[in-house]
Amino acid sequence: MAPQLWPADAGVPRDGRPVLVMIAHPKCACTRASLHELQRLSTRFEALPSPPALYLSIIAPAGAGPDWADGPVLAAAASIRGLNVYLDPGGQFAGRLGATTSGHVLLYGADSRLLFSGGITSARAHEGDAAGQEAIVAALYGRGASSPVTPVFGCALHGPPGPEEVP
Amino acid sequence: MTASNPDDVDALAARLTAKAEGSYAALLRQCHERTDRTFLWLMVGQWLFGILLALTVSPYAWEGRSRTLSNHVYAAVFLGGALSALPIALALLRPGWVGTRHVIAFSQMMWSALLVHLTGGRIETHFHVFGSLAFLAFYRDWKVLVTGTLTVSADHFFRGLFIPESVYGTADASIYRFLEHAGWVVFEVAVLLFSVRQGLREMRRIAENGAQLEALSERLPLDAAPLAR
Repeated sequence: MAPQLWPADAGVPRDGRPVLVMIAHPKCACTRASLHELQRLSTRFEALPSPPALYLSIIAPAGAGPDWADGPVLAAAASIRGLNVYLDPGGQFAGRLGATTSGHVLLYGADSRLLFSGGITSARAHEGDAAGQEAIVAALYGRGASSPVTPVFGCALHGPPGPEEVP
Repeated sequence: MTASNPDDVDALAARLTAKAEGSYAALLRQCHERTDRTFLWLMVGQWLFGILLALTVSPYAWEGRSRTLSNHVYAAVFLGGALSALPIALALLRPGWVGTRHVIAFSQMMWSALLVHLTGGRIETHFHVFGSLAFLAFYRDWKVLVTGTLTVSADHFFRGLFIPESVYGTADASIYRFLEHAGWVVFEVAVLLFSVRQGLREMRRIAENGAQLEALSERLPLDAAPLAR
């Protein structure tokens, strides 16, 4: 479950603006759609007097190689202006924010209060309008989120060793 | 050597009509068989393309460091295979049969739905619907276009009821939105029907001209003198 207040010792710099963070598995194809939607959303933030700082936290399991983060998610993230990308060794940051699925988006206000937690796509790997996007925009414009929690469609951030474990 | 009495004229006209009808039916059958063969290859190509798409767009589902083959790949292989198998079999075994082209029409429109799903609801993939309807017009059979239209409309209606995001890209679609999509399909089909009618008229003219030429050549004496130069 997402904490109601932004963790003070999260290690992510704050400058008094709202914070929007997406947690991602770097290999998840569904998250590519989420990032495309984040790119569309970010253009709607430009009209805000105080647009949110955008962060992408990519989990890296223990023992993952240096090129673990390379993949479709990083490629999609590169096209989003103003998106800060961080590596999350062991997925600890994701765990602190209560995220278990790739593509999970959290929005915290300038006062560090949780405004939104959930997904911004309407189905697995499907681009297009979604309730989560409208909830985020509504929260940022102070209209109050109509649906503050939405389902997240993506790969599991953590998992037991499966049929094919990739080094 | 013209017909000199009314009975001969009637007999000649009847023979011409029968010949023309026979030629017309043969031309139409050739058109149906040719179009069946075209769709046979299209079904094979779509199936391979669907698998390639799934393997390129979303090949794996991940859990931490573990991965398994994505559901999209299974859908492309098995569902795509199921959609293509019967049309391919019928095109090979019963080319020109009326059932073959109706099965092909149904499968081709369902391929649009599968491709939209495999591409994650990409709006551009919806163009496959309109391209497919144009291909179905090659049959020059208006009933096939009706089958295609009903298939698309029913697909949009039922998916719009249960999983609207897979067809409209949003979960907040009205249950009547399928009518808007069906309306655009009907618009295209109306134009295609006009083209089909034109095509059938030309085919009939060709058949009638052919029948007349054939009748004319039968009536010329074999020892006719060559034209003077």
